[in-house]
Amino acid sequence: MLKNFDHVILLDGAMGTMLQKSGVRIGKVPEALNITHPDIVIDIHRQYIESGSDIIYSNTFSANRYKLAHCGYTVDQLVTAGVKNAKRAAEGTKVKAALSIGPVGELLEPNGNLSFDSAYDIFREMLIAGEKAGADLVVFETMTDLLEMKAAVLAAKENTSLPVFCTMTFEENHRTFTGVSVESMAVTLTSLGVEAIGVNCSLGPKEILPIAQKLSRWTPLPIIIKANAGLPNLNSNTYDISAEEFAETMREYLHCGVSIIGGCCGTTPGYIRELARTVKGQPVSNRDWQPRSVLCSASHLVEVDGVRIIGERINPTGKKLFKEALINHNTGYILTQGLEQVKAGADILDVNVGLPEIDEKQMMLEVVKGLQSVLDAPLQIDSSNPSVIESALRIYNGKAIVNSVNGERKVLDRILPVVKKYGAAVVGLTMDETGIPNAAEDRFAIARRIVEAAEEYGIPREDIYIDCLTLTASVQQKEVQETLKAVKMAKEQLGVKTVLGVSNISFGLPNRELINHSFLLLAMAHGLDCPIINPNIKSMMDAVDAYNVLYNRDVGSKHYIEKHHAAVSAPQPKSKQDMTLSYAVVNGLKEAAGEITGTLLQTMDPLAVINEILIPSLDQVGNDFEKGIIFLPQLIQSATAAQAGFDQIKLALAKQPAARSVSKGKIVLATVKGDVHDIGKNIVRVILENYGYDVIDLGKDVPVETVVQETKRSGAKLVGLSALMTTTVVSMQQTIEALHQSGADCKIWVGGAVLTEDYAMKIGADFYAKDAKQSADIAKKVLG
Amino acid sequence: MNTLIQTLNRDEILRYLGYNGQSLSSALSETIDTCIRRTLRAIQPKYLYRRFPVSREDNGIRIVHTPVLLRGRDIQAQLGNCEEIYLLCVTLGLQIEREIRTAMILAPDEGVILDSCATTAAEQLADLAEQEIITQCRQEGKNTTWRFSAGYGDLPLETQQDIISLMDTHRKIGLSLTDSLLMTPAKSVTAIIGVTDTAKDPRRNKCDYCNNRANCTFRKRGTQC
Repeated sequence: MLKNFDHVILLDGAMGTMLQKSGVRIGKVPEALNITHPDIVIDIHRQYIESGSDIIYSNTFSANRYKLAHCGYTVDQLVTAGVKNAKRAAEGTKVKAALSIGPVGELLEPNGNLSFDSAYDIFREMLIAGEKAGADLVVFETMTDLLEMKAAVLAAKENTSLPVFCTMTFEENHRTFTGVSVESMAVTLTSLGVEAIGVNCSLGPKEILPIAQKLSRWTPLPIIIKANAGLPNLNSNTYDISAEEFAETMREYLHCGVSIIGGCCGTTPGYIRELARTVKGQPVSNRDWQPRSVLCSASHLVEVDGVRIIGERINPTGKKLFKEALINHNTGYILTQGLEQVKAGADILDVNVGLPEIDEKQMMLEVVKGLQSVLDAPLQIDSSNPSVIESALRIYNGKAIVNSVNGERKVLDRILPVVKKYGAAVVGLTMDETGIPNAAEDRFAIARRIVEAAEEYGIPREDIYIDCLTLTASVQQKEVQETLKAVKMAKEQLGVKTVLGVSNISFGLPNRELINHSFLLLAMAHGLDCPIINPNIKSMMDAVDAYNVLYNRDVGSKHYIEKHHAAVSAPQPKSKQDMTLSYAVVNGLKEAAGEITGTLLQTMDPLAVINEILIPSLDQVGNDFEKGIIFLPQLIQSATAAQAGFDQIKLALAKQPAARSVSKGKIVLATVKGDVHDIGKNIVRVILENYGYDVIDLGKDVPVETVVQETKRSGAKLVGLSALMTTTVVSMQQTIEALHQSGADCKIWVGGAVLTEDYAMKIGADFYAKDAKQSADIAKKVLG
Repeated sequence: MNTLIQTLNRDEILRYLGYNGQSLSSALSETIDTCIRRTLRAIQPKYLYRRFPVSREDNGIRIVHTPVLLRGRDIQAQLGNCEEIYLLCVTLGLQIEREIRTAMILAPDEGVILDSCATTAAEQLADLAEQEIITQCRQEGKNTTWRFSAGYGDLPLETQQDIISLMDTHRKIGLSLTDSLLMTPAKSVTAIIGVTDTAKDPRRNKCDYCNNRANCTFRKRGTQC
């Protein structure tokens, strides 16, 4: 039954609705009834079986460690009892018992503070118990976070041999509560290799139909629909359609290939009986699914059916400031690079954080988590280290692409299984142990080898992207054409997508931009799909726009006209000649502050600009804030204006041969363990950075050990901790104690809504700051 | 899409930002207007309330037929002789959180303004839902008490867990708690509202129950949060 989905099979209806109807008193967790009232649970299962269900769901939806805390039963007890009850009810029939698992109930990072690994552990515990108790399959249902679903799927695949069904819950806008789109769900879970996917709960059959239709275009897998009995009235707990109407509406689903049907909230055995009459055993029609090359985050899908730009800026190679940012854990800098590229038009972002001085794996995790918390462009995981790739793919919320493998057999055997397991796409470089062949034919031969190897590992052709490698025109001028030829061959003869890093072409030549965008145009004309470029460079983006017009991609030149018509008529920015830097900072004029600093640096020493203008201006702003002459947004605008000045100074210093630092000292900042309210800490960070301090911002919900570790590692002499709630002030105290015990040579200051000076002293802090201004005063006192 | 909340109270936003009559440049004023529009686009307001009978026990108020006990003297005083209560849960959803997070990186001034806009929106949403409850009660000739939340006075913050699970908010409106009892999405409100027979509004000043009373910057400025 779990192999053939040509004809409709039936699931059961609601368990919760039936338990309520039974009149039994439901305590803290309905799963406790598995042990206290097995007869009632078994009877409900039997009613569904008698009505026609082929698969019944165990009463284990929320029997997880988090939900069962303080209920007096263990996960193992309730899951085992739940599965056994379902098996008992199915005895003597062909009906299968599915282990039902719902969301943990606490949100994963970055929305909440449950880690991916904790979610995985919570699911694993349920899965092991469920399989041991005899479940025939597992169904993860009512999920709203694709990453939580991924943790669940991996836990199932790595710890059991149960077939995996996955259903998620969508709202009227066809998104889940966390913003997951139907397409992203379909693509990600299909690539992860589950048995069937679909939709349950939240809406009725009428509202879910368009979602099912969309789903059927994005997955070849059997589709599951378990709708509510109409739309819920949230405030009365009732639903609005009858069993007959429900079953009639479900007929429509047969046309889009839905083959596994049941009911969710509000449905009863009566609904299943009607389904048995109308749809059970009916043949399911074929659907119009086609393999497509797609990448996605949880909320945004990119189909590579034309030129798609991969932004190259998240990469330390040759970038001094980026390297510094990596070493100082300045994730904000890195995320800004990502956000700016997306704004400039990048479709996909390459992420490379390899640097000998840092732990690449940990940094990759930090950056991938950070990026997916603020932007929705799919990511290209760029590393040669399989364990870095694996840990990034594991926590990636969507379908990523891996950069890269090459024709070396041992590289293929090391990396392709990881790509397959996590359902990613992969870039294959046309080189091997002997280097990059000169002739196009030889590069093509390697490309073919890569494709064959990928297919051996079960990676479909639409997920393979071949990089024929750009050589430098000033050194290997003859081979430039070979690259272009190879792109064409790979694309036409292998039917794969192509990738090319472009900027290498012009190395060593003057006017590099001209060579770069010219080569880009040629490459696209030869079939390049995904140029890896700096999208902030206008001529490169212009080349893509022009190509799309000339190759009839941008039909009617609509996009081109929209973008380039506006570009011509944009007003010139006003001159900032008469303004002083101090005026720009005090008035929060960011652009002006950057420009004026640039001009000043031609005649003034960078340190003088800082000490004679920026800092005194910030002091004036700080005093005005303290006196109530200005308020918070104005303080921050001034700080960001000063930041623009500092950025210019850092750039200027980075160009000088001898390393010079303008840092006034290092400060570690953290919102303590348990607390996710970090806006106050972020405000403090902005202010301190603009006073010239190197701020190592550890983020929110930071474990005690991490604060200690990073303080010692960085040698910071000042540590700032924030906590919003009385409940989390406890972990503030623990962090302070741990810092003292570790012997770290640092002062500690604290802030947060519920703290007072007295209380701060009582928990062992050296200083208390009521706002960002006072924090800056403290930093000045301690670090100068 | 958000159709529930059409405008945001600008004075409230300014108040959360600590505004006290300073001069507002037109640029800043425009930024605030832009942030208001962004907030209205990003919020996904959802609310949920349900009425329950309650009974009195020694250490608090029991929600009848449920495992939930609202502990403490303050909730007892607040609810007086109420025989019924409403539990109210509202949330703005996760998209606005992402908007704020991104803004804090790219333009922190907009980040703090958006944060205040969202706080204002959450309060307005709670007011709106509360108004429905008040209307229902008025029709029955009854009155309601002030919104009282877990963590006020001696009502333990752990009560939040009971409310969230009794109301099934994770599934119904996407509202859950972290292990340290903070709400996610953060821009959310839960409240207990008593139904009273007294015609007179029994409301008391909400600051009376606030544990942060002595330390509150709003009170120092002569306002409330």
